[in-house]
Formats: sequence, structure tokens, C-alpha cells
Amino acid sequence: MGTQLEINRRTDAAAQAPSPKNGKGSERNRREALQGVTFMLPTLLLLFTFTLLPIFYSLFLSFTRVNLFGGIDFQWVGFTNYVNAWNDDRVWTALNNTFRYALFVVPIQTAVALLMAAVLNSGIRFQNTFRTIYFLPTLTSSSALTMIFMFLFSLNGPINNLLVNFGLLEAPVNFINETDFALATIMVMNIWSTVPFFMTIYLAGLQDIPRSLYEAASLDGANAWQKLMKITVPNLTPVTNYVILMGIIGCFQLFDQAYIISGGTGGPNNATLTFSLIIYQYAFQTIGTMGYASALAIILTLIIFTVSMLARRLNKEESNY
Amino acid sequence: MNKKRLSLSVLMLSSLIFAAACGGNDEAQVASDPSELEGKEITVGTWKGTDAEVKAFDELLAAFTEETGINVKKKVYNDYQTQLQTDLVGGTAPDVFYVDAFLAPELSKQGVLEPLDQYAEQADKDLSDFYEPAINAFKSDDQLFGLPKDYSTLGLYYNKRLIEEAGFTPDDIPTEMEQLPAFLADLKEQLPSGVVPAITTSELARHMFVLQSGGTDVVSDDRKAVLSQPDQLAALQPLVDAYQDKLVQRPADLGQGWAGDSFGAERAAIMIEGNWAISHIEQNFPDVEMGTKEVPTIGGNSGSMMFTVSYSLNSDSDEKAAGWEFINYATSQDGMKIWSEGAGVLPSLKSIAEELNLQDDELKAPFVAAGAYATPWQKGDALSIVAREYNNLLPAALTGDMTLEEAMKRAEEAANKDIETQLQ
Repeated sequence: MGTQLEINRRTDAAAQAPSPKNGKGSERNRREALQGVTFMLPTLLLLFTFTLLPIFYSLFLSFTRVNLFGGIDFQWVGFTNYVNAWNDDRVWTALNNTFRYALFVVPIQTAVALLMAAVLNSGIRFQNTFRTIYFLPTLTSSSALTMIFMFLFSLNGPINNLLVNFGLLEAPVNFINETDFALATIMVMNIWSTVPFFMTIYLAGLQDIPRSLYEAASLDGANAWQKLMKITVPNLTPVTNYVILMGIIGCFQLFDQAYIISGGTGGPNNATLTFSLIIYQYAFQTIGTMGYASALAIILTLIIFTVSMLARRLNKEESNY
Repeated sequence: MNKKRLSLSVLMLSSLIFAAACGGNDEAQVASDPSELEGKEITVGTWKGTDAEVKAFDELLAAFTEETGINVKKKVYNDYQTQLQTDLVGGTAPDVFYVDAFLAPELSKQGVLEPLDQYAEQADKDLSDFYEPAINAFKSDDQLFGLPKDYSTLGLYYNKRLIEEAGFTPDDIPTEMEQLPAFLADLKEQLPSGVVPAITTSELARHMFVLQSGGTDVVSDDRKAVLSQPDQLAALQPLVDAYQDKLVQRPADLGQGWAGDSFGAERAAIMIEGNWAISHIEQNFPDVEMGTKEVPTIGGNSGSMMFTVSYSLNSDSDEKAAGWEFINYATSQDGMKIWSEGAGVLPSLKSIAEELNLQDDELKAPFVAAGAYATPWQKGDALSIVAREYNNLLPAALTGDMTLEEAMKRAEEAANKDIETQLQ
């Protein structure tokens, strides 16, 4: 917000701009506009070349059967790729896996991140040390984490030993290679590694909540839980929206963990076949199916878009503003 | 006005750069006067390989440059299959690059590999010196799309100490697959806890010869996946049984990335793996005393897999003549000797294998012997889909979620559906 003087000046300039009579003013405006465009040009060019162009190109590819090698050779096939995707059992399996994954991971990671942020903001001792330690998993590369988790969850690994020693399991479970557990293992790993990142965002959001609200609540005799549910959570709704959105996008794009655990196949028995993995398979593992991969990528974009919008709407309705 | 012109020229300049980046390149000339090529530079695309391979490759390049005066730039791929494809599509692929036999049919069908028949003819190259299965892996439609730089086969490794401490001698290891499970069961009782009798990677690349041992190919002539014929299931069932009896395990079951590490860490007494594991174990696990044998016979017939990689010429290259010179030198007797001696790999030329006395090499002999009968890991352009589904569903059969027949039927169906809709 500017001062009244500035606002006046701006209105003056705006009023002058469209007037063709005032040649000097319009010339200046045009020059300023050009300057502005010149300054933005590098960004615009980058955005166009590396973001918009690929998006539209893959939209175009999704309607073709394409051979990108040598001389490029397109064959317009209309909606064939989309029809094939509809009839492809593997696509439905991948969709099912991905939805199950998101449905499980997003709520848990959001809730845990919020709780941890609230605790770390409450002024407990060694607050900063804890914040640093909790943030470490986010800094580690996800493929390295996957290798570590594969060791931890392996048949003779520490997790199995622990569970067997405490009598919780009779015999070690093959978490990574058994159809029922493979995806769950990835879920656990992903929650563990993404929670700190979202916790940091929540911590930043918590700084914006006025202390006076808590003080007033204390005077009225509210306990910690009531304060969390009635003050912290509603005030953090915009942050929660962001966290849920990023969580959903991250979940739908799950790739590296599934790729490493299954060696790129999506096994055992399609248990770790995610939507991004199937796109990768058609784009890079089978030659000549780039059109189909593009169609799947467009479908994934639409799905993420729809789900994110739905989630946003739901969250808004529940907000206590 | 000045500023306007400036910004306009910025715009024009950038669009010019953009247009230049997208421009195509001219058709290459095929010339063949060696002296003309001096001072030229070509790029050769490889993957990194072991330390010994890197060193031997540098020696090979130095010798080549000295011989021909052609300079070579290396381009090393970390993720070969993905990066090479991207490079080929983008028009930035090296002049000469490694081609895995597995990918050769798909790539040659795309027209990105230059047929080498005429080059070989002009250079009077002796193609009969190459091991048959190795060079045949790069032929499609009667055209040659690469010359094998070396090959690898599968063999059986055993840990001498573990076998002897269990009260056996290496000679007790059966030479027939049919007797192997019983031996592994005996072995298991004597091994310390935490050590599995045998370890193997479970994927089609290692099992194709087992599946085909009854005479049925995994990809039929009309390009259909064939994985669930009775003879194939019968050949594979012993492996599934042995896995469920914990006689054979996969590296992932032990929390390791590949069998060579499990064997090297002495977590398994026997392993079926390629000859590349020899140098890996010698380097990383020098205390392990290992021995090697040929893969046990199935139904009396010897079998193994052969993996081979070629040098192939980029059909889009501007320096085809110089590129061919490199391929020709690297697969000549001189070049092959530098490479296979230095890298410790099996040479694809019979004459060099003899010269290096590999048939008498204690560890490598079984792998050289397999060169005569091994099944190449190559089966047309549908194999990548068939392999994907096999690798996806075999674990379900191993862990007992499905019977082997169910799993293989499903893999076959999924693969066939995909081949039908996606491959023309």
C-alpha cells in the first residue's frame, strides 16, 4: 500500500496513458512497457522454452503415434491413445495404487507435520536442536533413503529382527518383496522423509498467529488441546491448503522409490506400479511408445488438477474463518 | 527509440539462437581414404564400467589415436538406456556408441544404427573370427548393426571355504540341474545360520535359457509372449520350489543390491552370475576364496545366457568414416587384445581368446566354454515388454501368492495385450 500521494500520481499516469493527444506521455509509457518486457524477456523465454513448449508438445504427442528417432515421423491417431489407456488394466492398477497411496500418506503426513510443528513451537527445551535433527531426512536424496530402507526392511534386517525379538512377529516378513507389504513400506518411508519439510512450513505459519489469541484463550480456561483445535488449526488453514496440495502432487508423482524397489517393473505383481512409473516405462523402456506415454502424462496432469481442486474446496468448507 | 531497437534486437538474437539450436544437420558423406581422416574428432558413447574397464578403454583410445591420428572424445552415460535414447532423439548422440544386444533390434528398427555390412566388406574385415552367437545378436533383416566388443556368460560360483567347512568338496556340486536342489538341501543343514545355500537374481535375463530349455521360445515367431507352456513351467518349477524351501534366495531377500555383493559378503555359498562378478569380488572382497563351474545342465543339455555389447555407428553421424575406423580398430586383434586383457572381459574374437589362453584360466574357463552354447539375451523388439511382465510377476510365484502357472499366464496375457496395442 502506498501513500495517498503515490496513489494520486499513479491515477494521473493511468489517466494520461490512453490519451493520444499527449504524445510525450504515451511515448514514455511505451518505453517503460518495453523496458519491462525486456527485463522479463529472459524469464519469459525460459518459461516458454522449458515449461510451456514441452507441455503443449506432449499434448500434441498424446494424439499421435510418434517415432522421435531419426527423421521425426508423426501419425495422427486422434483419441486412440486415450482409448487404449482406458482399456489398459495396468493403467487402472497404477491409478488404484496411486490413489491408495495418496489417501493414506497425505492425511498422515499433514497431521504428523502439524503436531510436530506445534510441539516444536511450544518452547520445549533444545527446540532448535530438534528442529535441525527432524529436518535432516528431507535433505537426504530419496534414492539413498530407499536403499537404506530396503536394508532396514529386508528379511534379515533390523526391523524384522526387532519385531521378532519382541515377539510381535513369529517369522520375519519380506516387506519389500511381498505384494501386500511393498507399497506400505514405501508409504512409511515417504511419510518419514516428507514430514520434516511440511513441518518447517507449518513452523513458519505458526509464527504468524498472534500470541494474544492464545493468551485470551488461556484466560477463558482453554486447555492445550482446545487451543490447538480452536486457534492453531483454523489459523493455519492457508498453510494446510498448501501442504495438502504439495502432498497430493508429490504422492501422484511418486516414482523413484517404486522404481528402485521394483527395478523398474512395478512388481511384485504390480504392487508398486505407480502412474509415474508406467509413464516412464512407455517413454523410455519401450521404444516407439512416446505418444502413449504423453497421453498418460496428460491424464495424470488432469487427475492431479482435479484432486487438488477438490481437496482445496473441502478444506475451505471446513475452515472456521 | 534506441531502447526499443535494443530490446528488439535482443528478441531477434534470442530467436536466432533458438532457431539455430533446432536446425537439422546435413547428410553425412561416406569417404574412405584413411589419410584424409587424420586430425578428425569423433565421440564414443560408453557406460562407465569397472575401474579396470575405464583404464583399459583409455589405453585403447590412446592406441587408436596413435594408429590413425583420429582423436576420440568420451561420453560416459550413467543411465545408459534413458540417456542414449534422449541423445538420439535430440540429435546429440555420439558418432559411435555401445549398444546392448537386448536393445539392438529396437534401435535398428528405428533406423538410428548404420548398417555395417558395406563398411566391413570394403575393409576386408574377417567376420568369421567373432563368436557366432555374439555377432548374430546384432543382425536383423540380414544386416549387421554392430560389432561385439566382448561378451559375458553366466556361470556357477562357489565359496571354497563355506563348501569345505560344510564337509563337501567343490566336486560334490552337481553338474546336472536336476540334482542341485537335493545338494543344496544337504548343504543348508551344514551351513552356519544366516548363510543361504545359493543366491541368484530372479529375472528373465537370467532365466531365458531355462524357460527355453524344453524348446519353446519366450517370444514366438509372430511376436507373441510365450511364458506358460507346460515345458516352460516344468523347467522353472524346481527354482520356485527351491526358493520356497529357502535353498535359493534373491539378493533383495538379504537386503543387498545384487548377488555379487551377497556372495562377496559370504552370505551365500553358491551363486549363478555373470563373469563380471569375478573382478568385482577380487577387488572388493579379496579374502573370499571362490571357484567357478559351468551352469549345471538341464535335461542333459548345457545352457547359459550370453550378454554382449557392440560398437555401433550412429546413422546420423557426420564422421561415419572416422567412426567406422574406430569400430574396426577396437574389434581388430590389436584393439581387442588391449581391451580384453586390460578390462578382464571375454574377447569376442576366438583368436584372441586362444592367444590369451582363457580356456586354461582357472576362473574364466567355464565362461569361455559357455560362449559356444549360451543363449543370447536378445529376442526382437518385444522382449523388453515380455521381460518387464515376467520380472513383475515371477516374485508373486516365488513368494507363493500365486502358483507359477497363474503368474506366468498373467504375465503372458499382460505382455501380449501391450505388444498388440503398442508395437506396430
